[in-house]
Amino acid sequence: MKATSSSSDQAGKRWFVPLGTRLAVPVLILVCGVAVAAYYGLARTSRTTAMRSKEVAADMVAQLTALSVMPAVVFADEEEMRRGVADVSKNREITDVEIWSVDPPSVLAELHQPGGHALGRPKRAARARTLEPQSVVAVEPIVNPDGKVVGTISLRMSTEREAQALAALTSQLWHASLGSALGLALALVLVLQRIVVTPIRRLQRAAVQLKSGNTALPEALKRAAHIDDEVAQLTDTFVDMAEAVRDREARLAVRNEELKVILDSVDQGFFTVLASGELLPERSAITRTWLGELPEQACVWDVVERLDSGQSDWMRMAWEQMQTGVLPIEVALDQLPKRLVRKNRHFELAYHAVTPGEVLGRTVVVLTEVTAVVERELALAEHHEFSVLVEHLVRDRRAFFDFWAEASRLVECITNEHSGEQPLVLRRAIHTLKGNCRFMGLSRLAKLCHRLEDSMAERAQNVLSDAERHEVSSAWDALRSRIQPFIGETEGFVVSEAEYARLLQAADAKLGPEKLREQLLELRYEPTKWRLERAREMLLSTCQKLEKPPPEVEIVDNGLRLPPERLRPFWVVFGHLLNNAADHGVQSADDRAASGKPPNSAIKLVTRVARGELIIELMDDGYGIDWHAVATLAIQRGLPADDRSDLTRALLSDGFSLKAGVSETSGRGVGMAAVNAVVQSLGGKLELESEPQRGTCWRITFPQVRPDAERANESRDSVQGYAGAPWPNKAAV
Amino acid sequence: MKRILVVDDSAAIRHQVAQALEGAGFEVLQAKNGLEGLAQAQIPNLSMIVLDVNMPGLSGLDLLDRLSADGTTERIPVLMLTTEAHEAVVVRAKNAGAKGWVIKPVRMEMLVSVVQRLTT
Repeated sequence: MKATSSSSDQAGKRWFVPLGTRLAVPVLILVCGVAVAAYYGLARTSRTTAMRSKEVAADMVAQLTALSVMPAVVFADEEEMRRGVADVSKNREITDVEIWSVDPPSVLAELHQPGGHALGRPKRAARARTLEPQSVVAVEPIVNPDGKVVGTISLRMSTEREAQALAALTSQLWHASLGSALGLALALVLVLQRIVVTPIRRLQRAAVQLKSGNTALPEALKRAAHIDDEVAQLTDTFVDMAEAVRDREARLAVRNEELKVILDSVDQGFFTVLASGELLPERSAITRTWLGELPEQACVWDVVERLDSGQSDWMRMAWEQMQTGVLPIEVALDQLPKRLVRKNRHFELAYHAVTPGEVLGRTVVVLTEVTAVVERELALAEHHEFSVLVEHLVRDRRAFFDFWAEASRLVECITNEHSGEQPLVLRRAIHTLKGNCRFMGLSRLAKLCHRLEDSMAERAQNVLSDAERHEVSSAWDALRSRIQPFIGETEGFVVSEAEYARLLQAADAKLGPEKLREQLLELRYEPTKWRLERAREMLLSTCQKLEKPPPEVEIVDNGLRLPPERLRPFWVVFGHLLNNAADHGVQSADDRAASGKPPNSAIKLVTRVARGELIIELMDDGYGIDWHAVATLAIQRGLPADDRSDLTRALLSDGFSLKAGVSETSGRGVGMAAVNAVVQSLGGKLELESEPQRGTCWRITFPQVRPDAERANESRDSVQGYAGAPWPNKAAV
Repeated sequence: MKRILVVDDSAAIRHQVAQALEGAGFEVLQAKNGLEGLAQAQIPNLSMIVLDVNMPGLSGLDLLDRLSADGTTERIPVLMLTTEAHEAVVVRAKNAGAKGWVIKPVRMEMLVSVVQRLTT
């Protein structure tokens, strides 16, 4: 299982500071602060006490000395005053002594030890003590027995000894405070480490194990703590949670096993696909049968590659489009391949987005083999088409053979591996085959041709791929294998009662052998009436397909019979003209009323002979040709557009269509060009007369040829018979 | 009201798409071929173009090339409608700047949701 993101990923971006360090630093700072404060407090107290004692000592010495030198001062006995000063100076701590008279203010006696210096006259003749950096100065008034101040004695007592003692004491205090602080801090850190950090670290390690899928708890976690506190409660809760996870995993494993049994039993393939296209490993067993073992990090297009390699690129591109999020998920899913074919086996793909909303998450892909369904549908369609073909065969055997022979030729032309060398021929062949198949009710083959036309147009290349050629030949072979037994080897020909009677009459009249032979040969010819009646059927069928009202079709065949083989290519493409007539020549009743025409469209099909030439005409009274539109389009295409003949040539050029859209019947500009090409190849010409809103007349004229050649060819090879045949003219036109 | 141009040679599809988009509150312009599409693409304030690939004359892909090369139209999002799953067509459409592509036939409510997304 893959997690898309986790809290540990986010934790990786933070600065990791161990809990022990985070606890030890403030403890250390706190304890050291307390130690320093204690040190300063003790040092200050000690110094104050020592100095105050020194001050008291200096004061007492000054008072005693003042009493002892008072008589000498009163009697101005200088010798006695010097002795008194000398006696005081015996104390080595007293560095300076001075006796001052009050009136006049002068030094009466003084003594300074080495390093000492003058104290100066006191500011007031009163008791005073002054604390100097390394000494104490005491001033004491000398009072005579009458209570009058007669002088002052000043002395300086050194505090160096006390300072040294204080320095030693301070040093001891500093070491003691620092040592105690560090010891205390260490003890506190150790206690915190034991009761907080270590259990939490143990929990953290267990959580990491749990995350990685190991639900077995370390022994140390399971041991019940002696003292209940927050950490112990956290540990208990974690243990409960881990047990719940283990329990849920066990239940999930059971459920997965049950699910696997189901997946292994169904005949559908299930895959879960991540947004990246990668497949999750869980999939139903049948997929291995269909696909074999897929690589570890297989993607959904690898599945398609195994079944239908032609569609794997499509799958990859469609999936990429889905990842971009341009289309809503539902629409994007709809663009993915839905049918796969592998060696006549058909598979269907269905997609279900698991993650709700508009962000691509996981998608479940269901792969189903639908070969049986497809085969059944195919069989039904084949059966239907077969019935239709048999109906044609029974109803109009000659028409059927014409269709069959021409369709076989067209299929050969399309499926030939060199078909791409003549793109125009290929395009016309597909278009003609489509029209003929549609008329004969072979809708699958007609649809296939239409798809191939679309496909070539989208690729802008008139070339079929191998797969497409194979598709056409398979479809045709399947059809041929079913219908061949019913066709037989010979076509024969049909003689009507009237023709038979006329032949008998000729025999009874004892006509010469030449005349009789001529009449017999004529029987081999095909009445144009058959062709025109077939054309009427095609017209009505196309109108029905285009949802247009059926036109009134008039046939004027003039009793003509034609050699069947020579004009067969023309009759094959004649369908394109009929499509055109149905499309442009048949109007709705409303349109006709607006133009002042009778409600029903009228179409006339004529075969006649004039000046020895065969003329086939197709006339309608429909919309007519918009010559202005033809001229505009011709100019856009760079074609000459000076007169009607230029415009007619433009209309008959390949790819020229006035229709804005392509439909199954018209719009590609292939049909007219194909008709013109065939007519020209048969030595004929195609003419066009048309006026807007009045109608259109297509006229095809085939020239007469020499009778000698006709006879020779008739007797040799009926297929080439038309090449030399005169028009058997039954009716003067 | 957002303005959408639908270029398709099939009148039936144009009509169907226009009806669906107008029902969803869009203003719809229609062009029946590539050249008409090229002219209509110059109309100001176009929010999007729905373009058929397969059209006679100037095909959808050729029109897309022309739109991408024109400074006034290059920024208009284009959705291609294609009838068959041809990789080459889609690759060319993508390279020419199409925002996305959808295979025909497409359900109209789906098309409306795509247009709504691309015009938001």
